[in-house]
Amino acid sequence: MIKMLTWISLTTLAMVLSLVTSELFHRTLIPRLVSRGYVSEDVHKPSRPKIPEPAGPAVYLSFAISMMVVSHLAGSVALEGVVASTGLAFLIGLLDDLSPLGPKTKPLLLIVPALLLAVSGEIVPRPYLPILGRARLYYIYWIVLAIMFTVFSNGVNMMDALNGMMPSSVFASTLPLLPVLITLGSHTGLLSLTTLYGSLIPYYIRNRYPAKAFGGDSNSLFVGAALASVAAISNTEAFFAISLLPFMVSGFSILASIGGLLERRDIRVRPVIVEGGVIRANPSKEAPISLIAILTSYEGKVEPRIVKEVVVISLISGLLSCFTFFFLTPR
Amino acid sequence: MLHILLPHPEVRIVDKGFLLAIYSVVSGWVLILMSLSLIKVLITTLGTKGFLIALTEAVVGFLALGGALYLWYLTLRALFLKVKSTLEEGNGGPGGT
Repeated sequence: MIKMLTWISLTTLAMVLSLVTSELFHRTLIPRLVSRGYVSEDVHKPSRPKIPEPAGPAVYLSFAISMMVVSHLAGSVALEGVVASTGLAFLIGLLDDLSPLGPKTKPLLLIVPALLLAVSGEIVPRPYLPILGRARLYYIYWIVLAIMFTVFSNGVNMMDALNGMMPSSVFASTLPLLPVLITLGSHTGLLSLTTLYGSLIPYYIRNRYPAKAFGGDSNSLFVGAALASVAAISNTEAFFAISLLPFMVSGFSILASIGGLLERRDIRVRPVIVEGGVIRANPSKEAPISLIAILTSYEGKVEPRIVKEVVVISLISGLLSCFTFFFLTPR
Repeated sequence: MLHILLPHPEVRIVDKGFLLAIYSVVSGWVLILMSLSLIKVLITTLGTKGFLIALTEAVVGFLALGGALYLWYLTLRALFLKVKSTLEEGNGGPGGT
């Protein structure tokens, strides 16, 4: 009971600390990005306003500071492993923000954060799997872990396409997993996820329509790696994969339709076209399929409506994942 | 009497694009569960003793998942192109809120 109360206090502390520090870092960083000319065009608006980018450092640093404070108090190596692996993903993203990495280099580099988490010694290769129950994957698990980091990070990166879409869909798809983490008693997983929420809330306030800040790849790759880390330390990889299905629709479809790895900015035929603030699927049959293209395949839609629909779909996948855990997973 | 609670017939709450997106997620979920069910059948029939048997089960499971994902993509693409063809026929006006 005392242990549980300690973890509840630590989780609350970590979330509040990350929320406050993230807000302070955003207030400090954004004016500096503007004054130094670190801005990007918002291509989905008719006026194409210049938006400060990347706000990723404000999100990651608040997460890292809060996690380090709490890991020091709790004496948890797993939390330090999460900070290290997500930090590496953040640095890869920051490098990509400053000087774009190749379409094959980035996914390969994103395997390294998985290795860093693996060497922390806190990962048990016994994931809970729907239908099968708790598996023993002593050999194959490490390959799956590396793939998971790459897939999650790139999936979140693909989802960071419209104002507020990435943070709101992360909230919607992972909030239904909180009861799963509580049921499994994964204190470290729960603490890491709520700390991530705390860091993302000030960013979401600035990134929602009409956006005042863009996170950049440093933010999206960090968030993807953080979700993969939470899944790995709590052995809920399959449930995170189900809840993040909308994130993977774009990634897998683009991969399958193009037939290889390409950067979002390097795709020759764009999945969607923008006309006067209305987004619709590119009529070309060669255009790759993305989640936004699917949503606008029947009629053109404005940005906030697409984001709302993505949030609903993310919530559905999160609830499906929660249902799978409680009703279709032997424990 | 209940009809007054329903929206006007011309007001679309959900459109075909939104339904297709929901289909893509739900069908993906079903495919994952079906692949895992296949592995469960293999484990029940072949057992789990021996490295080669375990490896066979893992390989068959991954191949089943890969094949199912490819079929999922082909179906999704066919439906996507069908829905998109209606957009080309003059349904591309602003439908936003």
